[in-house]
Amino acid sequence: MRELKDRIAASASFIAMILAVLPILSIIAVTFAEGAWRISLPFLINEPAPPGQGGGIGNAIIGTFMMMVVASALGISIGVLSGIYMAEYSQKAHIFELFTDVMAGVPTIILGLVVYLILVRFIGFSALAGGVALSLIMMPIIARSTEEALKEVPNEVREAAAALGIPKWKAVLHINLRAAEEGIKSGLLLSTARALGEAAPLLFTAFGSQFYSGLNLLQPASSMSLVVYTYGASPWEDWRGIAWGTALILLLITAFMSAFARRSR
Amino acid sequence: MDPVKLISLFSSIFILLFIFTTFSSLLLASNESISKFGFSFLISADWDPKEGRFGALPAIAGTAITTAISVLIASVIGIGTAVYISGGYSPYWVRRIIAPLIDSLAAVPSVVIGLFGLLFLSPLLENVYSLISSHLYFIPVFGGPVRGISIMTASLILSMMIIPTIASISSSAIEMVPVELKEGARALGATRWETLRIITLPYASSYIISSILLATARALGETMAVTMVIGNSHDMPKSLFQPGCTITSVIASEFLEATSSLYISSLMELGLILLLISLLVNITAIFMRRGFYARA
Repeated sequence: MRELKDRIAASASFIAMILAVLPILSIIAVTFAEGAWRISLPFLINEPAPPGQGGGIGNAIIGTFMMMVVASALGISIGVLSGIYMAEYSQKAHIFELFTDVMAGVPTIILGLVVYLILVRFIGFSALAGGVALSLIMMPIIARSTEEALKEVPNEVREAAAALGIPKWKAVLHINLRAAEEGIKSGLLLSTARALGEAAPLLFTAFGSQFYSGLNLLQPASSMSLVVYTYGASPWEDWRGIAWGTALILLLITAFMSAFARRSR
Repeated sequence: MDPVKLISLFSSIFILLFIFTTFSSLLLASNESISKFGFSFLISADWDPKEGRFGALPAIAGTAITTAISVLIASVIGIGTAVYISGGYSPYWVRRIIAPLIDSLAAVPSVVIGLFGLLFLSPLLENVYSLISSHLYFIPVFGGPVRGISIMTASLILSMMIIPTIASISSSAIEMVPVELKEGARALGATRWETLRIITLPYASSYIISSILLATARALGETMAVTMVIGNSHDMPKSLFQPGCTITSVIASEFLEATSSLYISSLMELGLILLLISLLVNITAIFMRRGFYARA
């Protein structure tokens, strides 16, 4: 009887595992089947076209790139610095940790609303605003992973630096950060992968666009995630195909990034 | 003065201020709606932008229903998976493959999952729903006309998205239970299941519950995937197989079309409600996890 119960638990947990793995396998399979054959060179460089005339996602790729540059610049600098403060300086790190975790838990659509209220209302829909919204996703992830990585650095390293008379800030920048490099890199990759796939905070900030905007940060811009959202819901077969192709590209990029992040962790 | 300390302090203060800025800017922006509708905003089901009447009840109900169903499904599957991975039921090589695979589901962008749900899953599910509905029509939540784009599809999509959260956090919680306790139980003749039921799961429970709360917060705030498959209808939900809306889907699909200032303000108030609920859930989860660390 007791053995039987154990057997039942074994089978039930096995079934649960199968049900957990099934979605990811079917998402990968379906996205490949629907998306792979649509990706071509014109697909990657053209602007969107009316239904039935091909068209591509070139401007969305450039838009994603511009926004990610802005997001990384802001997200990495503030994130890493805040991680340094929590790990190396603060006496009240748990308070900052709490606020960082709370920030990480704010729904991304809310980030879009806030950036709309404090930025878009003054400068308009723009790639810059989209990048700022995405940076708010990256900051808490980077801050916490930087903090964790710095805490892994043995205290002997800090003591040795102090014994050599190196000022604390030089030791932090040149020794501790160097030692924590792997962990910080993995946080950067994870946060970049998260931000790349997000569309919700871009709806009211970057807005989306049908054209190349010539790298102008103050113009509305499209992103690959926005393309998946708008084209996926369209009634035209070939537009939905564009959404599948873009979804496959996003899936591959984010999968590789998070796989690398896990390897370097 | 230490220059790095100074700039890094500013960065930390930025993060500290962020949450206050978010809260106060949303509060300010929803002022018009709050002063016009007051408390009735929360309990009115009348959403009529043309007439300037806004009631959040269908959206709040939709968020509550989709979150509840998805968390229920994901808890069963997620904890089951964690038991399989870390409870002594799986050979090592299987774990090496399964755990990263489930983690990678967490990395899939929500628009991709939404696209999968909209174009692949919902037509498939529509057949399943009509089958269920034709046999169980006497149960109210299953009756009525059936659509693939529906509250149930949104719930299923959400549960897919939060299973990795519960599975991977719960399985590391099970692994953190001191090995002497587990081996002690086994040495006394307990089976693997008895060890789990009497020793491991109770010990790890606060951590597992915090993973469920974390998943709940994710489900509450998830926007794109839900917006793509729920149909965004403001009718009060009568059946799980009909379109509905959630707080996030209303904001995402209507904000850019909102013309009057009262309309915008109502959407901001929806955002404020969502922020408060998800803050509450998140903070509870954080404190439960800290409690576990203090004990372990």
